[in-house]
Amino acid sequence: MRRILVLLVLSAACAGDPPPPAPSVAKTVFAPRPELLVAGTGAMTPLAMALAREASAGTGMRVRVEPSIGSGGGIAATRDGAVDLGLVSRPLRADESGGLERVDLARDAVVLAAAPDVPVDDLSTDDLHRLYRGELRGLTVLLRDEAESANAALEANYPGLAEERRRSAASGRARVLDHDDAMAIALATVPRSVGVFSSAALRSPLRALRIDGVLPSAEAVAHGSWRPVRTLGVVFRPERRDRVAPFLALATSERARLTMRSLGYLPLEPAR
Amino acid sequence: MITVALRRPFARRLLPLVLVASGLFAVAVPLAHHVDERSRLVAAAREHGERAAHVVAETIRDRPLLWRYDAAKLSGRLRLEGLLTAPLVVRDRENRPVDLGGAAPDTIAWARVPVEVDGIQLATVWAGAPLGPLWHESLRLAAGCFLLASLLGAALFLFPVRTVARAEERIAALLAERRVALQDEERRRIARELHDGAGQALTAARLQLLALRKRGLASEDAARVEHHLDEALEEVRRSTSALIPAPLAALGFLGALRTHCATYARATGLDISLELPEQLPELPAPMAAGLYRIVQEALHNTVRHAGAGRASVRVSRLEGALALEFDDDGRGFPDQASSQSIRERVAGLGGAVDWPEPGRAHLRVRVPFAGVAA
Repeated sequence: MRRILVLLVLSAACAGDPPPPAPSVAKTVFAPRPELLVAGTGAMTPLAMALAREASAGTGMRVRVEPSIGSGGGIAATRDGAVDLGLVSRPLRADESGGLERVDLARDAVVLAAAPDVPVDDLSTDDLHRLYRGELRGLTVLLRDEAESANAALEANYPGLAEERRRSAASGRARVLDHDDAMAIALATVPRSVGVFSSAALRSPLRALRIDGVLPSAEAVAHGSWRPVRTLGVVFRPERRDRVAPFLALATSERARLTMRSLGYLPLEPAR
Repeated sequence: MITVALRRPFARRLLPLVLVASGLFAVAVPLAHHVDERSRLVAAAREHGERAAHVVAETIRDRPLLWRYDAAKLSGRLRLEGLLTAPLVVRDRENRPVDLGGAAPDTIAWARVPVEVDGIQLATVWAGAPLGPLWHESLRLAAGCFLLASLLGAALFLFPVRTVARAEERIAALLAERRVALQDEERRRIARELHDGAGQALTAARLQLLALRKRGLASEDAARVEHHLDEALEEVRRSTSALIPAPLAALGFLGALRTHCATYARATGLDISLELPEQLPELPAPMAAGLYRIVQEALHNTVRHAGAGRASVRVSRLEGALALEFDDDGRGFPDQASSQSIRERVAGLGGAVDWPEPGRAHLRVRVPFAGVAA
């Protein structure tokens, strides 16, 4: 009896709860699936939804666009087969590609979006750094999360800006938003706020600020005077090429390029 | 020397008890602390997991189909809430892990919190409590408890054993004292018997022989018989004197010492220096006899074993005690029997002896008046 008691006490002291169990065989949970399931970066969501509507109207194809899960999430979901097409706004890393095929469709300009009550229209490079450091009086910076590709596009053109963003986020001086829609709501509600945003997702009353006198526009991007730009595309598994082919044909059509322009995207010219 | 064996049996019985008690203390305290702290850590991890489950549930509501692929956003939300400071694992409904970044420590106790949205369990959060620091803390506490238990165990063992050892010595001294008293009493009884029995009978036979000679009835052989009777009477006197020092009764302690030293010096040629106080209170008989015998034994050793030419005896009175010092210029006390006899007599008197180094004979004996049974 004493041995049993001692063993019980020792086992209670030494043994932990069982660790999280190993993954079991995946099961299908959500059914029925639409004809085509699309998800990924929020920067492409407006374009994908517009193309889905056109596909439905033109061919009767049922395309469902999920809310943003980021480029990384779109790539992972495509690789796992959870979606048919992944929307991406950045190059794939070597560990992400996993045999996926990519088709680039458009570019968008990464801009500094300003709330209606922001009293300035133009920021210098120095103002931009001071804004990120929280030293520009009268303005409040809103930041995107570390995984957001717009950060990389902007910060690649302004050395030191990434470190200043990380410091502001870590110190709690600046709010960090993790989705475009959250950023849009924050810009609309936080007085005199400025945040990084996609030109394609910019809607009134928000507006884009000039940097060093350059206004972000299709012309500025084409001319090369506005450099913070992302290339937007879709990824898919090769074995689903037939499945996604009708949608890709629509997305690369001249009609789709018109739609892109109307939404603020800069369509890529088709490969010759 | 009388030996009383109390300490060893007592120590043999006490030691296992002390070891068990100390061991229990050294183990039970850190074990109880570890179990208690571990429960507290798991409870804290569960609370942590419940907060994380709330964030995961919000994410699932935002992205019900593909939430697990928005891991970067989920980990960003969890980090903003300060929930990635401890080990956290999120698994979807199919038990696939969501990569939140970071590596979990090796030793962890996990608390499982289901994530339910509209009453349906869609994910599970495992919140971990790192046990490494707790193990280190428990081991440090165990080391401290072991040290404390060792000290307490040593005190619990040594204090009673030393008390028993002192009692053992006291009992041995009392027994030795009692044995000396019994020996002296027995010697006095035998001496009385010899004096009153054989001595009186021999004396009567000699007187009768003397009367026969006066009346001219005794032959020449009677003279030889008378001579043998004289020798027998002398033998009885020597025996009774050896059994009980007769000079003590006649001359007292100081007088008997003076007479013995003078007689011994004349008989052996030893140069004896004697230093005595003017007077002493009347000593208890065992004390006087014991000290007298010690001087006899020491002088005997000087002549027989030490090869000395000079000896000194000094008696002085101290507060509540009598001091006896003896020294000679010989080889000390090479005879084991002499030294043991002196030790036993001192112990029997409840006194103490400063025994000389080997090869030296300077002996200091101190006997309390109160330590001797009258």
